[in-house]
Amino acid sequence: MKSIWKSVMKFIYHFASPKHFYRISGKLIPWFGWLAAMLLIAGSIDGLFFAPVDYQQGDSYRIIFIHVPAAWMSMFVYMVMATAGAIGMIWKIKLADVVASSSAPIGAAFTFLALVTGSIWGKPMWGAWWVWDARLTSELILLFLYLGFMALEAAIEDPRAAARACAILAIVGVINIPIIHYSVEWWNTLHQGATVTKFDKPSIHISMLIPLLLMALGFKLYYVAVVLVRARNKVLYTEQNNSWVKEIVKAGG
Amino acid sequence: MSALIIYVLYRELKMLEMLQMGKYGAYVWSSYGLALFVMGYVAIKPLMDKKLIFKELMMKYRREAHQLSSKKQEQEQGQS
Repeated sequence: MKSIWKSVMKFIYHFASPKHFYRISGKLIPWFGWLAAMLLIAGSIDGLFFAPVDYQQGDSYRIIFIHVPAAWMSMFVYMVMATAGAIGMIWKIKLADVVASSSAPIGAAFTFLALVTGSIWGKPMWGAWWVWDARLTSELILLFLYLGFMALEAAIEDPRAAARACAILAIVGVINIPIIHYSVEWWNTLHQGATVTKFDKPSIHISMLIPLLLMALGFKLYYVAVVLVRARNKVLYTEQNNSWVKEIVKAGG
Repeated sequence: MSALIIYVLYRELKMLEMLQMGKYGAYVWSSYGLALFVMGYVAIKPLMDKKLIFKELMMKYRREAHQLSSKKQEQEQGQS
């Protein structure tokens, strides 16, 4: 039992080595990138032109195909960030810290998109750009957590101390994620309840569900591609005095 | 010939109709446009940063190699 654990850890440490990570991620990025692009284009075209009109909201509901995947990603990326931060703190794996730090701006972008597209959707449907309801407010707090993470990292000189502080911030902020998710159940909100992420059949028509899932998968693959590009850059820069980096830079790629 | 013109005009009208998204065109297209802009920027910026990093590191390695070779020259001159 102990030897299985040992070999798993050896496997993880091997691929967590910056040099191997750089090489492997280089091969993966084009796949994730192009697949993401195809899914996003297919999902957008389906959502904009082929999904049927909503009997209550008309064509305005089509914002959902941006708004919901962005919101899902804002939460998913935060969980990745907090988990990576915890792994970096517990097992002292530098790559985990790199992944957390690379994820933060991407997560912040998704959160921003979710908030703004939600606001744009809210204006014609609810008559308001913003309401201080539970879902919206907790998502706004999520944005502040991301920005806080990025600001804290920039404010601390020593990279290891910065990574540790940011990991703690991320972990403490995890409580916000179930709050966002359950806000529409626990409180009397204007924002509608869950139609997909619940322990029941989705209460959305299949012709609208398909573009939604296409976009959701596209957003996810997009995140993986972008976080790998960012992480590679960081790894290269931090390891610049190592010979393997010199070889790669001199070779030009 | 006139049939072709009528067909093209019909297609254009359908196109315009689609672009208007009922009366919500502004809301829908600004959302998609913003998403395209934000996600495009977030994806492209690290790719541009990579080029900058390569440039900076290349210059640094050149400088180090230069310093190393000039130090070696000094040592050799000192010995002779």
